Amino acid sequence: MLFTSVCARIVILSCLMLPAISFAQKSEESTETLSNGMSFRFFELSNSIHVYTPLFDTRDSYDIDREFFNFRFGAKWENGLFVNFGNFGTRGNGVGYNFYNTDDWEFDALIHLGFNSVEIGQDTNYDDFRAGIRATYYSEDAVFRVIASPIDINSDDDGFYLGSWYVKNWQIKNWNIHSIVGASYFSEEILDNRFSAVFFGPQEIGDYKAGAGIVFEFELGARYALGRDWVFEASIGQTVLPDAIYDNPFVDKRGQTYGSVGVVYVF
Amino acid sequence: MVAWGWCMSSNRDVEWKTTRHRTIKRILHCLLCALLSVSSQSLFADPKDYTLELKPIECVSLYKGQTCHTTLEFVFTAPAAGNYCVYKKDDKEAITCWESIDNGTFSQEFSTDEEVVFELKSRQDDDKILSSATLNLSWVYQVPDKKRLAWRLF
Repeated sequence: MLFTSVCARIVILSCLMLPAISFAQKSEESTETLSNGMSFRFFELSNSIHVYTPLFDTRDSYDIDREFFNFRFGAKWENGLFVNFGNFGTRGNGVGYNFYNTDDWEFDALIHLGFNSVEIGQDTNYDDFRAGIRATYYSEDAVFRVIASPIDINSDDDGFYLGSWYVKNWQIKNWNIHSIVGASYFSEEILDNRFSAVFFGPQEIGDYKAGAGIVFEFELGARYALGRDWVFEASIGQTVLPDAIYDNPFVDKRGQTYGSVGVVYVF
Repeated sequence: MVAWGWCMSSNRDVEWKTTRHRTIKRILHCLLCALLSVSSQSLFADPKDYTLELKPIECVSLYKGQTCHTTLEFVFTAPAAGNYCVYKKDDKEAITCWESIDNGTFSQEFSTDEEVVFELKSRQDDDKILSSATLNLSWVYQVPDKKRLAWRLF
């Protein structure tokens, strides 16, 4: 049974990667080549303070996380492979393969880790290690992105995740402002894994069983260059949680509010 | 005798003329020196005696290619009072002018997406560049295209 499951996963992942190989020839992007065959990369060290309403707490107060020397790293190689890891505020962290690329569109095979919208103030659940497809549309000052991941690499209960975000950028003087509107669908398998007995124990959780649901998120942020290597950044955001999560006896809030202020050193 | 007398008279006349000529030359020379001492600074001063400084000298934007905004302060000094103007290089219209002064400052909001050279010129002779200063542009991210902008948000 286990062998069959593993084989099935390999086949599905291969199917995801095959188009990558065939479409890679069609890449139309012309990029300046960096050393090591990278087409571009970034490497940053962030020092920031995050304030958020705790999800599993009935208090009407805020929790504060101080995150110092957090690394964010992103790189894309000419052969299409990419990695992108960050912290708070990033979405779709993981590794992947860009198999289709035009001026406006990118399609990637993606293995991603965790879900930003339901992890505010929590450690990333490394069980949420999923494989899927990522599609991104770029206009001059906006980005629309969809991640569909039908495969859970660590579990037989794959479930289905579908995240979509619309990001708008604009510039006011030297401030770079962004707004994000997002909606993420989580199947019952995923939410149950995060919010049911696995974390809370069968006694405490009672009859609750998470169903499927959609999490909405909104964010407004700003970035400002303090110098050639330093960037100030700040953001505020709000998530709206579905009944599937809110019905959990330990969850007292319909959503989470969060804010973040920090400086980033850019290498 | 008459001829001698005429000759003597003629020699005195020539001597007097020569003396007068020398005197006039000396006076003219002195006048010229005086004029030079008064106005040499403005007429023949070395351009290095003029300074034009910018504060700041660099404008930093987040991404390469973005328009950078800053409040620029122009500071100029000149060896003599006069009428001076600051121009953006290759522009005919002055950004600002000063009248009858030998130093001054001026602040202005400025936006650009490329390096800019500013030039100090005399109002009377706007062909001659007395001093110049450059506003340099730099940026944090060498990522000019729209796709790379998104990488830090997702």
